[in-house]
Amino acid sequence: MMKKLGLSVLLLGVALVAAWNFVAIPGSNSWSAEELQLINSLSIERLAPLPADPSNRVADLPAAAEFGHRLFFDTRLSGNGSIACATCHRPELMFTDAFQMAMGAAPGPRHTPSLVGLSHSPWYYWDGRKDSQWAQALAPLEAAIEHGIDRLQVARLIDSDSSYRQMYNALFGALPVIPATPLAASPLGDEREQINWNSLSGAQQNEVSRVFANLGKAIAAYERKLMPGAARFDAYARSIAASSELDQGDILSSNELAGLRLFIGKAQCVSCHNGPLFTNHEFHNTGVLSIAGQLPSMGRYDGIRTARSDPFNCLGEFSDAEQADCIELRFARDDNSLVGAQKTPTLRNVSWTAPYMHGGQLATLAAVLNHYNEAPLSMLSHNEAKPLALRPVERRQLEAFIRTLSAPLATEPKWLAPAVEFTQSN
Amino acid sequence: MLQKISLMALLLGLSLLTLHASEARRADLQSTTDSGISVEIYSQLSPLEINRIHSWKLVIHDAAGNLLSGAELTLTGGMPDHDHGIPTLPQFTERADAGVYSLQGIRFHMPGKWQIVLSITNAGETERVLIDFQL
Repeated sequence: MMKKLGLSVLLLGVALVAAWNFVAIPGSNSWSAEELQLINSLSIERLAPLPADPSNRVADLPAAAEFGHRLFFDTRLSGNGSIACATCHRPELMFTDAFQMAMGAAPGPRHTPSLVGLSHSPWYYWDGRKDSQWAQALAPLEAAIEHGIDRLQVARLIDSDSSYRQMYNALFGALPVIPATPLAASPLGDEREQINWNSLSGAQQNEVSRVFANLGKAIAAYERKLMPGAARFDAYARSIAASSELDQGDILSSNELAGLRLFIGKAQCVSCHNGPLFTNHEFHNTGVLSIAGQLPSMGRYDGIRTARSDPFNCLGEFSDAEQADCIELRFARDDNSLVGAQKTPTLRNVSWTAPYMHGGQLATLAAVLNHYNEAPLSMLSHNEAKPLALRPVERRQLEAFIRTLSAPLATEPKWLAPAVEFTQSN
Repeated sequence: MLQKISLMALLLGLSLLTLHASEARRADLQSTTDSGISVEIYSQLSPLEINRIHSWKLVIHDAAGNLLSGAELTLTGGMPDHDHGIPTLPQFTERADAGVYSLQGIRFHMPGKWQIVLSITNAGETERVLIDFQL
C-alpha cells in the first residue's frame, strides 16, 4: 500500500516537473487594444525615414555612397594590407563576424556589432563614444588592433589612386597636397606616429584630418544603405492591422505567437527593444558578466565623456552641423546611472548574429534569455532588469518569436559585395 | 510696389493664420499647481512618441489667468515603475517670452507610464507639479 502511494507521488512529481517545463498555458485568442498598438509600433512599416545627419553634408549623396562602398571593402586601408571594414562587418553575416571578439590586426576588446539599421541611432559603439556614423568609421582605421593604419597614409592612398582621387575631388573639392614625408603620422598613433604628426605644420595637420574626416563621411553614406528587410513578424503585424484575431492563417505558429505575447508583456523585452528596429538606441546596465580578463566596463558613463571631447564630434571643426543641430550631444545625460550601461542592440536578424552582448559573452539566444530570466546582480553599479520567472517553455516560445525577426536585407544586392573595380584606363 | 505690398499682406495673413492655428491647438500635456498656476505643454512631436529627441514649449498662467513671465523652471522625470529617469538632460534654453518657455533635448525611450516633475520658482516661491502620461 505504502509502496503504491510512493510510486503515485513520484509519478505526480515527474508529471508536474514535465508540465512546468514543457506545457504551455493557452493564452487569450485575441489582442487587447494596447497589445495591438505595441505590435503595430514594432512593424517595419512604421520605420521612419532615415534621419538626416546635418554633421555630414554628403550623407545622402549617391556619389558618396559609391565612394564609401569602395572604401568599405578596400584592404589597402590597413597597416598589413589585409583588413577592410568588411573584414569584421561581413555582409553575409548581417555585417557582423560570428567571433566572440572582433579580430582585426589583433584580437579586439569588444564584440563586433551589426551595422544594419544603425544609421537610425544617434550614438555609436557599445558605450556610445561617437555621435555620428562618420566619426565612428574613422576610429577603427587608426586603432592598432583593428586596421592599424594612420590618417596620413590613408590620405596618401586617396592621392595615389586616380579613381579615388577623382571621386574625392567631385565630392569634397580638390584634394590638398598630401605631405610626402613622414611615412606615417597621427595624433592618436604610437610614439613615433605622434612625433611625426607634430612635425607637420598646423595647416597640414588640419588638411590631413579633414581628408580623413571626409572619408568617414563617404563610408557613412554607404552604411546608410544597410537596412533590414520585412520579416515574418512584419507580415503578421500587417495582417492583424485589420483585425484583432490572434490567428491569421499560418504566418506565425502558436508558439511564436505566445512568444510575441511574452515579448510585449510579461518578459518586458519591449521596454528597451522597442520601435521598428527593436532598439531604443539607449544605454542600459543589464548585469552582463564583465569580459574575461578585463575590468568591468564603465560603459556609457565613460562613452559620453569621450564623445564630448572627440575632435570629430558634431560640434567639432570637421562637422558640417550648426551648434543648434547637435541636440543629442548637447543634451546627453552623463550621471552615475550610466555606469556599466551598454547600448541596446537591434533584434532584427539577431538569430543570425550570434554570439551576443558587448563582449560576445553569451553564445546563444537561449543563453541570453536565461540571463534576462535570472537578472543577476551587476558587478558594477546595478542591474536595471528584474528577474522574470519565465518557465522553460516560455523561454523557448520567446526564442521562437525572436527568430521571426530575421529576413534578407532591404538593400540593393550591389551594396552587399565589393564594387566592380574600375579598370585603370578609366 | 503694389505687388510687393500685396505679397507682404498675404504672407502676414498666412502667418497670422498659422499663429491662430497653433494657439487653437490642444496642449499635449497640462496640469495646475496647488496654488492655481496652470501649465500647458506643446510638444514639437505631437502626439508624443518614443525614441525621438525634440523640444517643448510651455505656456504658464498664474492663478489669476495672466501669463506668468520670468519664472525659473526645471524639469525632471522618469518611469516610476522602472526606477529610472529621462534618458536625456532636457534644459530650458531661451529666456521666457511673455509666459512661454522653451525646453530642448527631451526624449523618451520606453513605452509605458511616464511622469514629469516641473518645478516653478516665482517671486521666491517654488511649487512642483507632477504630470503623468502614457507612451
